[in-house]
Amino acid sequence: MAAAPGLLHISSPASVSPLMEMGAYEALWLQEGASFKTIAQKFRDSPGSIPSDFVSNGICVKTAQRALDLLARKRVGQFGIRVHGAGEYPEKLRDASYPVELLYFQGWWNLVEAKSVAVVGTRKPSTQGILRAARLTKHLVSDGYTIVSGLARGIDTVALTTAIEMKGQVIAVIGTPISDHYPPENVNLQDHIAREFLLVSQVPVCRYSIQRPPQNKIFFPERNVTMSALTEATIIVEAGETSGTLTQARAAIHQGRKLFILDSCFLDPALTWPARFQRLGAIRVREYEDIRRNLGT
Amino acid sequence: MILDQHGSLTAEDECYYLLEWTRGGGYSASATNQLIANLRKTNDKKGTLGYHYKEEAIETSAYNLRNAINAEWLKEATLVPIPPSSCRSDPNYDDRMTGVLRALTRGLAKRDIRELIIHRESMTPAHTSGDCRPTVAEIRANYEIDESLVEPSPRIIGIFDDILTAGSHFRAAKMLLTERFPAVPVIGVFIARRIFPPSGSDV
Repeated sequence: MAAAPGLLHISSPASVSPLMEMGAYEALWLQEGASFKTIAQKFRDSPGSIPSDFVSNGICVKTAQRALDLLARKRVGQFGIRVHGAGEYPEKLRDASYPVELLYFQGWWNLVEAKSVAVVGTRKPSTQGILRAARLTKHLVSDGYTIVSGLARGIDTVALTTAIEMKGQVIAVIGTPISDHYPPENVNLQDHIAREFLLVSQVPVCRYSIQRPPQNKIFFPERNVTMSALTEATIIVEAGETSGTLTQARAAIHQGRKLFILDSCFLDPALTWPARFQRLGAIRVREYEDIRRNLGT
Repeated sequence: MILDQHGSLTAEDECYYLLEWTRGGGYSASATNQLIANLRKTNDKKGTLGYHYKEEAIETSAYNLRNAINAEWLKEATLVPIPPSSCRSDPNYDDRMTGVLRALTRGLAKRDIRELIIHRESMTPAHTSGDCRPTVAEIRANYEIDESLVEPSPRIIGIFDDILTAGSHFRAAKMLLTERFPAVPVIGVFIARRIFPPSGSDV
């Protein structure tokens, strides 16, 4: 249950305050060696627990304030928090290997309930890849799907901007905290999505602020796992042999989500991953109808 | 963080909510909007197809609150529903929150639900009154304590309502209860708080 911040005391009727949980989550991430894996393990070992069960009240308050200060300094406006164990947390996130216990969002949370698919791929797409991503997105929007993507350069950006142009709905799941933008050229797009649609981040604000960029790279693949869990299916438009997109492919298979791979990926002789994922259950897409049929639209 | 979205509340008010209800979103905006719409089905829909969803919404709300509320607190507290906008004699009288509280405390060895606040006269439901929403003072002026229910004196009071909007009804109820029981802490518990959809959305 959630409460107005700062009002929690021992005689309270409930035990979840978003602000305290935010402080606790941030504090867990400041612990030595913390990762999505170690944090998820903590919660797995103590079923039913929430972040503040592992952190003292004083630390929760102090760390929440530190995070709020960082967010204020970056001029983050209205934002919300979802905590496992409180209302409005999407149960489908529990399908991830290391499910997130808390996430930040800006915009319209209700979009997580919409039928949605993730459209993802390389940051350096070919011209054909860009055209395919745009064409695919148009079909999906016409069929009423909310488009989910990672706001990276390349395919992600094409998918999100096409969907918005088509008057569709979008969700961006980012690999930075809600206070940061990456890549820099997507600042306006991110802000637009945060205002009009839904921006989601599981990245802890404090930890991110004290790490250097190479260390902060760890957050990018994890958001792909969350993106997969949030959606009915992941569609890979184009991706290289070592692309981060393949993290999402693995997650989709693991989570029992549908995984679609465009035919062009199979036709590239340099790529081995399409056939590998097809053996694991991925669907080869020769035409849009293959997606439509498998999604049951 | 969110206090400014509920204009009648002050920093001293202690309020809890479970879900978020989107204003203007209608039934289909979210699962929560659907729950609240079902909970608020009016009496004239009784006997029609779909009225049973109201019963289900009462049960679901109670179940979710029960899971969220500290059982020790529940044993000690007097649970007071915000009175429905219509008086008991009114055909539109809808005691859905009392229904939620009954379901919420079902099976407990000790439970204390009291409709301590009553209306002097029926009010237009705030959620159907458009821009003319009553002020805290106006609501307070129309509330009175049901003196037949004041004993034994409560030790903690939880005011329950379905949606926290501005918080005016809670404020008025808290004022009234605090005047009558000065030393007793009063908190608010809501199934959902009201949020607004993003500025540019169609909803």
